[in-house]
Amino acid sequence: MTEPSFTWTKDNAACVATDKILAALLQFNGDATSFDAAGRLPMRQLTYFPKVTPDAEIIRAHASQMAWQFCDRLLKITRVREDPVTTTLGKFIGSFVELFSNSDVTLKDIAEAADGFLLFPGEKRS
Amino acid sequence: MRLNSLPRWCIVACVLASGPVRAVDISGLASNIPAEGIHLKPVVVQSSQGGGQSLGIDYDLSKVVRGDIASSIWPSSESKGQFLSQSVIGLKGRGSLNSGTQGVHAEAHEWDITAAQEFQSLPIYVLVGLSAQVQAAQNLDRRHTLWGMRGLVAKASFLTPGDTASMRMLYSTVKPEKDPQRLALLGHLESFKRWNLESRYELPVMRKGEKSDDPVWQKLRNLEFGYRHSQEIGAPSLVRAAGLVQHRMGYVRLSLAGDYFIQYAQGRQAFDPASGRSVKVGWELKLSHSTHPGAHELEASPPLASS
Repeated sequence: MTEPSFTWTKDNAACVATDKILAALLQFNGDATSFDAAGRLPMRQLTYFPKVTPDAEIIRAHASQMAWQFCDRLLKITRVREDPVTTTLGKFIGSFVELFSNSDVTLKDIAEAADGFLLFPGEKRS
Repeated sequence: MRLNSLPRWCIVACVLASGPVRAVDISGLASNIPAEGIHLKPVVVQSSQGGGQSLGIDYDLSKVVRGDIASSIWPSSESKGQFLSQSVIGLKGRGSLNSGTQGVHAEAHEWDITAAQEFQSLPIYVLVGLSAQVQAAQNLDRRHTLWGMRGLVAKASFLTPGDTASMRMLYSTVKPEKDPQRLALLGHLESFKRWNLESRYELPVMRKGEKSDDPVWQKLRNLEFGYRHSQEIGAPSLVRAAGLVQHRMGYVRLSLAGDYFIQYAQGRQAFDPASGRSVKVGWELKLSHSTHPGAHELEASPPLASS
């Protein structure tokens, strides 16, 4: 049995938050990019991503900074979905560092991870 | 969640390039290299003097192991939720192999093993450690081994909102194992000290809340500046006179909407067969994708024009 696939939609608070936060961090041109197109944006096109002959070490350093900035803003509007004691900082931010390090990961993938970890305003713990 | 990489065919036009041997590479498009794994891409190595060409392959591989090996020495990796600390052991290799037909040969290899401690936090990213490298170039008649200390720092929102700056330093003892040029100059191959610096700066072109109806302005995305410098410390006057003391390379790249870019580079690196100035205008085409993680990337780079 497969899980229903995650869709990039304005009805999902995780998608809206991902779009708004990364546009506010000037990682893409939010004014010139429609919401639907933003969901397909790959990490390699965002501002933080090193573009000229980068190696894994440099990419990770830049991705780490972006992941921390992103999570810092995200945690101001959300709560951790699971028991906060079992969701450690390493597991939480570490996942986002991995995502931001991958050139082909899209904003939709970031939103999906955020949705998996966090409860957005209006959501209840199941 | 899909974390695997997608292979892509890439095409780039080299509008201008100079130097005795030129590898028509597409390094400007290397942004599609995912964080880890093995990557191969075919290149055409071309001599700008004789017009000869030979086919080659560029490789790039990297394997990194992380763990809390040093957590007994360093503060616990998750103390108070303010920073993360991990030990990192990494192996890297990059270079190019080619057939050397028609006397065109631009083989180069660089292998690196690093043991380091990584500190991640909101204000800054820091990595400090030890590193050992082997560098070989041009028909393998030149080979250096080196070992030393390295550091890497990165910071987002460094000067303006949205930017990211990073700097990597290496202070090393270099042992020239084979180096006809140095041997001819000095009559011996003694070790020397050298420092290397590599800095990058990513900057958004757009400003928050600033709307523009200009269609050209709307296509501009971000800028990347880079500068690499290596300098021999206390070099003998003969080495100094031969211009082997320092190597510098700088570039600027403007990314446009989609995968388009304009890039200008000038300078030369110590173990880089390509040298001089180059301007690249490029774009990236995604023609196929696969779901196999770690699939090799194939890129084609037809030389469209050369000076």
